[in-house]
Amino acid sequence: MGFNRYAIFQMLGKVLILTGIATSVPILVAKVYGEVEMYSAFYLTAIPSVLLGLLIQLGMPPSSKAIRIRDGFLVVASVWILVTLVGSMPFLLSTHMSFPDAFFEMASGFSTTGASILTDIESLPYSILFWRSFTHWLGGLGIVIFAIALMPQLNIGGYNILRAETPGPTYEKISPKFKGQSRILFFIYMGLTLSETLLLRLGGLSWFDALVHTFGTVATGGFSTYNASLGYFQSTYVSLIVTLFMVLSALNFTLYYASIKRGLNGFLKDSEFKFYLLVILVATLFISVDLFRMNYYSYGIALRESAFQVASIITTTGYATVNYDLWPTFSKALLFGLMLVGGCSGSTGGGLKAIRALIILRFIRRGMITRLHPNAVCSVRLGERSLSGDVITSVAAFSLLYITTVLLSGLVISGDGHNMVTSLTAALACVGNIGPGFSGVGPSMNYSVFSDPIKIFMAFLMLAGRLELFTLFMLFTPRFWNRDR
Amino acid sequence: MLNWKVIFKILSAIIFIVGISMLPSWFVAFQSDGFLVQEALLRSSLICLLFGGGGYLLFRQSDGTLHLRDGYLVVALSWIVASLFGALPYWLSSDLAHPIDAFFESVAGFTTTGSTIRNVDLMPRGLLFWKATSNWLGGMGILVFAISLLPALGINGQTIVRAEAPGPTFEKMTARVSSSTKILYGTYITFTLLEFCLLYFFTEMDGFDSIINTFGSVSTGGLFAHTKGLAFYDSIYIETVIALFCFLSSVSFLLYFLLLQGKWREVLKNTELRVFILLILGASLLIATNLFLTQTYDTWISGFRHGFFQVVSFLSTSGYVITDFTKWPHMSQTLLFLLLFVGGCASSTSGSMKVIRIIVSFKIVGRMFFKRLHPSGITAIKVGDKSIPAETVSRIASFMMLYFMVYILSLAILSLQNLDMETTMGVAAGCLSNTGLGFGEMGATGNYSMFNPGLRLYLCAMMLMGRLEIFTIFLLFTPTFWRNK
Repeated sequence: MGFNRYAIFQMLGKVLILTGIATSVPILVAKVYGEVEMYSAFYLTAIPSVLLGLLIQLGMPPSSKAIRIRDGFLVVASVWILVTLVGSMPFLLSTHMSFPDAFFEMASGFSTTGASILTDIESLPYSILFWRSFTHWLGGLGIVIFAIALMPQLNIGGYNILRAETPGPTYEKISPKFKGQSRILFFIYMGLTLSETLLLRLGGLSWFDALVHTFGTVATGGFSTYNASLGYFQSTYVSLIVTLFMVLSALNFTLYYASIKRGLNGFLKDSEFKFYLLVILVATLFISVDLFRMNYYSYGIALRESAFQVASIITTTGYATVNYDLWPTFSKALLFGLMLVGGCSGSTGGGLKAIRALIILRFIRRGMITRLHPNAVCSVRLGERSLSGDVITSVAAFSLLYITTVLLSGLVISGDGHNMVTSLTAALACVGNIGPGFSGVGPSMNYSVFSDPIKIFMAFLMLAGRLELFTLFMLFTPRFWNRDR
Repeated sequence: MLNWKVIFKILSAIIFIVGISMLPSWFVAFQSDGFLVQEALLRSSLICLLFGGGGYLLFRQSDGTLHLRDGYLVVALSWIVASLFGALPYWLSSDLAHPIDAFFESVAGFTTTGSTIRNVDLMPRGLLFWKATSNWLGGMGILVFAISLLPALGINGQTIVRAEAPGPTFEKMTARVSSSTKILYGTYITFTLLEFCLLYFFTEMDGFDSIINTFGSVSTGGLFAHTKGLAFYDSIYIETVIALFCFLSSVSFLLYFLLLQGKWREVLKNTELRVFILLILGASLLIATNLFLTQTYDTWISGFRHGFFQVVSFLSTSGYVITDFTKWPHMSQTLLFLLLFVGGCASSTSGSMKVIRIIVSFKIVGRMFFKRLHPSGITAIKVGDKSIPAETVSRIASFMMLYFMVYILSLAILSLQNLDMETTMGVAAGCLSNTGLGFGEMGATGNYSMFNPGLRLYLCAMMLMGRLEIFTIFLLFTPTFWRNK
């Protein structure tokens, strides 16, 4: 059983064309700000990409073979790597960035992580800054979602890809056709983007700043154009708007669709939504009290800062208004816990996902009951339905893989000689697509301190985290490449 | 209905045993300590004998079956009660004026954690000897003594065994619990005598130090007789002997039973043992190389010597120290930190998660890779030649999840002390795994005096949870446990 080369290359070609087109958007920005010297970097990326994409599309002999699971994994993984490579071209062509740096920065962009190796962001040209944040936006919805919208035209069933791609264990079908579904997701995403941009503009930000920070928010990415991140604006309004939109962007997008049709009931009935909101509220409360207790801020400001930081961490955005690494250890420990949880399934957020955390809690409770009553039959319930054994096994397996990946990657990263907290939280921040961690990778620090091999390793961690680990790791199992099995 | 009368009978027996075990410490105190310590040990011993003996006489008539719930309750209560009565000498001698401190010291003894609130060198020898004795008693599990007593009490001990070792044990030892118990503590006593002879007759160590070190290593408690730990002796022979017995005590005792039966082939083929040995060797090699490359020690051999010992000490959860590993490069420290989550084999005196659970977790993840590729394929999880029932797999998964959850929760609670993240993370892991060591500020000293009384009490709870595999303690706090059906 070989791979469906035709389908794979068709897809890669399509993605190359789309990325090429996307790379030409910053040219407009360069025009507006008069950065003539930047034209070539983007043209030299866009034109060859589109040409190569077209060449592949036309050059491949057509075939009607069905796309299978194996092909799906390969397509998804290679698409993300390809896009990251193409995306780093403008950096290589215009700045003095080395390849590992550019690859890291773009993996961080497309995976909506927001970790950066740049020490002085403000010194970069506007067009490059725009491109950097635009990759968040592109990655946020998933380039593959765009690809799925195109797939029916190729007469290929896109179902297999969704299996490999969809974040989270429950993904309720919105419409029977993926074309329709991805269109709806796209419109919700656009809606969030436009409304936040407008609201930020009303808050006194320039169009550029408003747009760039919206990209970072709705994609739960976290790239900013200022060294002080959102702390630069010193504005309660901006902080509140961004807090709100971070929380909104890490909600399950299918809930928005359901609420358009059936009103807000869908939100209130959704266990994941309730759990996610509860965690945010409780964490905000605890951290604000802790900050107030330790005389960091007055209570009002403590509440604002804690709400912002809790939202930023749990949604895996990674924006910062203050250096939370200087906060009391209790607040930091809570943030560390939130890093593990992550946003809701079916959103742009990363991490373990709220629904998995919830299922694990229920699973532990079941473990207690079965230990007390070994013969009792007890199912794990979520809302009104009981979950099948398969779902629970898959959640447990994913969580174990997630924790193992973080711990072992932390060990690899520690080879660079940074302290334990730095190494472990750097691993967590990469795998969970968060961005900042603690200590050496705290919000006021950046990833430039790591060595080149470790940077490449981290870039892969970010992509792996974005693709829910299995998809990328699958390519490293011998079974995957074994034709006979 | 809980069978309170029988529970009281068992607890009385345990208190009686604690009382008797204090007498040797009294002899030691008689020779080397002041009047206060002698008084305290004698009085505590008499109190225990009085309470234990009296209680036993009062409830000696009661019998009847113990159900699973009774079993859990007995297990949890006996550790708590033993620790409470065992705290008397520290408290009565005014060596530790605060009752919580005395309790902490006692819990650290009975849970084989080996941590302390105070400086060891200053501790009167009588009390130190008592702590070592409680290590030794705890190591085997007071319950094993209780189980060997139970048949005499006319109670079937089977239910308790289930509660005490809920971890995975794939081999059934013998049909009769009491005879397997005899073999267990027969092995334990043999090890103790053997190590004592190796230390006492072949080195310059005096009898007192030999006993402390023997009790500390066979129980994987890791108590040492000098503040500098084993670095005090600076002898490769002593290190080797202690490392050997730490290792032997953290191997499943069931294997020794197989050895006695002449089934050494099965022992060699045992997956858990193999993985355990590989882990020790792999980790030691990595640390040795890391130490050598960073020039922490002059020669590779010296690095291996220190690395190997520290790895064995962490994996067996004994917590011996031969050098200040907090000065080691961060990669070595991170690796040691990860080892805190592994522990030794099941059915041994070591703590933490146990190697077999780690193996099964990896298999769960591995199976998921297979399932993603072949959604309709069915595979069972196998360790060695035996496939593990789904219910056991589910229990192991829920245990892992609970362990991590308790760890994160404990991290948050301990962070209220506002120590730095590294210290807090280390303390939480060290305490929960009954190793007693940490990193950062607390480091290799195993000294917990930096925590306030409230948190010291929580640390006691953590040690107890860790020793009793968490669920045993957790169950007592669920409403279902106390509901009478």
